[in-house]
Amino acid sequence: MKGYIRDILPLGVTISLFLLVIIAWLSYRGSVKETDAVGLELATYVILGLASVLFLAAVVIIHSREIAHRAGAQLSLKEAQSGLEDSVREHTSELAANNRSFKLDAAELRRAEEENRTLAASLEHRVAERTGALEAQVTALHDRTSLFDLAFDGILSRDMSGAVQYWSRGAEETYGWTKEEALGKITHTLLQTQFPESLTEIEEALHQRGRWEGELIQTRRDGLRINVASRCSIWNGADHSAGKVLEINRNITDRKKIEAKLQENEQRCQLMVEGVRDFAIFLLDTDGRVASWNAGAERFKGYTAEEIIGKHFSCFYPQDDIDSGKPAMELRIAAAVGRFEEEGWRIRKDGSKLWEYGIITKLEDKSGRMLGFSKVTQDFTQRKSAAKNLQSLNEDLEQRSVSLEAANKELEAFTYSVSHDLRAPLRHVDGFSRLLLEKHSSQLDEEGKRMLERVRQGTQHMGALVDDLLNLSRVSRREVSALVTDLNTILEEVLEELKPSWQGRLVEFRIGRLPFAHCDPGLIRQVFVNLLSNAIKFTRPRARAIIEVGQAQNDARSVIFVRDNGVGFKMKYADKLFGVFQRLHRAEDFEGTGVGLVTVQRIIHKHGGRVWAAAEIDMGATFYFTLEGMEGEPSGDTITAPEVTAVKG
Amino acid sequence: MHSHAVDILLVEDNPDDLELALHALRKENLANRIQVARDGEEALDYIFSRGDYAGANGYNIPKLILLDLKLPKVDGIEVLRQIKTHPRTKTIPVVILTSSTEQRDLVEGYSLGVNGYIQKPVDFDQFRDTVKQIGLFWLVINEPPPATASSGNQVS
Repeated sequence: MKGYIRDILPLGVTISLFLLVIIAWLSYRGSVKETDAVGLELATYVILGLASVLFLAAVVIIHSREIAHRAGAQLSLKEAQSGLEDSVREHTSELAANNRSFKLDAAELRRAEEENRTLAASLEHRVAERTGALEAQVTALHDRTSLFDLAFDGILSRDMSGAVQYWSRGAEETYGWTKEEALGKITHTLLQTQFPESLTEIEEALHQRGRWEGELIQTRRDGLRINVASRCSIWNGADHSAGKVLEINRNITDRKKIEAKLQENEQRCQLMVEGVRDFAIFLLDTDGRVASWNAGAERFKGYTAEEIIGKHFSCFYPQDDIDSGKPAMELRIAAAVGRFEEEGWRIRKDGSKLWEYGIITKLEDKSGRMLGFSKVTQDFTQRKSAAKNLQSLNEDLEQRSVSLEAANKELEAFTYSVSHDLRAPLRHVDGFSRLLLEKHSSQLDEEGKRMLERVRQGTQHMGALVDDLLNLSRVSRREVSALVTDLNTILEEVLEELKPSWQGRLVEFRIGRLPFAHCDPGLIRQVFVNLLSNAIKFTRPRARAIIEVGQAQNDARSVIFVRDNGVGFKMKYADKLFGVFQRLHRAEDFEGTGVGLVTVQRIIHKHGGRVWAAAEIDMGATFYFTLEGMEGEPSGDTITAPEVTAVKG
Repeated sequence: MHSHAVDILLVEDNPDDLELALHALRKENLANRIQVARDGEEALDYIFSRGDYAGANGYNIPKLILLDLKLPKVDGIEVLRQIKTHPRTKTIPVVILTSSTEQRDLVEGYSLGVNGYIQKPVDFDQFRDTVKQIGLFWLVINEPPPATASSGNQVS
């Protein structure tokens, strides 16, 4: 303000003086009144000159003042600029740098001012931005903390002294300690942590690498020990001073238990496999190299585990098989269809051969990725030779059965021819003897006739022999065609048929109730014919013959018996009863061919039954037989059939 | 044209059997005209008028054929088959008179249509009795098939 007054004052004085001159002139002009025109004109020039001098003086004064004033302004501007520089340096180093190179002229200053303002505005904007970001961070941090509480794992942080600073809900659940209880406590004391290595080692690792992970054993609030998988890292704050440890612990107690059990099982399995001696059990990798080896494999093949593991399994095969690519082919098949099963020759370590039965099974994980193969094999060398023996035995047997069949055919042809050819000469002998007796009896004396009769008897006996033998052979060859048969009916028919053979004698038949049997009625009929014919024949000396037929029990089994009160026989000859041509009586006492009982036995055996006899000399004989599939209850007069082991069927 | 040339055609190769059989047949006066054939071929030649028996008659149809099974050249079963499959001869009664009672002979004989099957008994008396009964039945008691039935082409 002072400067301003200083600038204005000389101008004001000048103008005031100019105005006074003007006013003086005006006053003078009024007083002279038009008479003094020359004075007036002169006065006017004086005044005008005065006014010009005054005006010039004023201009000079004002101009000088102006210069002085401008110098002062320049000084004050300089002052202001340095002040500005200071303030700019205070706010930003950038401005300071700029300011140092700032040219001290007004235009640049204005630009600087402008920049300063822009900078200030940008600073303000940045602060606002950061504040916003910080607020967002605070929100995110809150979210994350809530997220931590969602985790099942125990999440905690502790300062470098070990004091708990954060304790998640998962930590509460894992350890049983609430957040309030845990905060500030020393973690490892609170949880009685047992470390897998020394704590100092862990701390060292933590500091060197910034993180550590491992398994710990800790104790819950309730005293229960738990296994945890722990992972921790060091976190340094912004100021790098107050570090803390962040820790996440997962309760793996259950997993550990399962793992332990699995391991135990695996161990047991391994022990079992390793210990098996009767099977070679080993693993192959996907390329066919041996990956494991058990005792059986060592025993069969002769290699120890150390010798064979890593080697390709084709070394077990004969060279021919290796050359033809058989081992690789077996693996391809196993890989394609899951398994390959084979029997074949293999080579032991010592070069000897063994016959092996083996199965290669593809091993794959749940996703179907092939892990390799298992091979289980058994030494069949002995079995192979046994099979070979069996085969040769079978061939023998086959050969024998072929020759047996041939022999049977021969026998058949023989019996056929016997029936034709053997009987024919007998007929001729008998026929011509008869004709001789008829036509030429006049030339024969009594002795001659008697001899001819003997000839005829001989031929007839031989005819009977031939017929019985043929019958036996027929019975032997005949297939049993079994039907459910009422034995009573058969017996009745047989008795009727045999009637002529006991005509004129006193024979009492005591017939019991017989069961049904599953048998060939034609053959069983023959059994009754032969047994009853015998009974009728051997009771011939009895004035009153008694013949019984019935059912008895033997070892809870039904037995049919035919008993007579005839001459019987000595039991010591009982074993001869069922032999061909074996007779226990003289031909002149009782005729017979010695084939009848053999035929009976043959038929009973064909039915799966047994036949035997019990007798005493002069006390009669009893024949017993059983049949498979005999039904029905024994009749009232049940007897117990004795066993005669000597002639058991 | 044909006629019952003979009463019985006896087909028997064994001379002893033949003699005994002829003896038995003649004793009973059952057959006056007996033709003997000593093997299967001769039997067929006779019946079908072939070979040594070729003649104008065409067929010789006996009232009865007694046929042994075991015969030289053509066996008895084959003779039976030819007789029983030919329309002109199939009505001739054929009785097999043989030593065997083999199952397969019985089955085959009957399936070919034999009219009787008899096993020659060893006992000559029984044999004679058997022959007597056969002759009595087929030549006397039994009514033979009409001549047309055995000569016509129609199968009756």
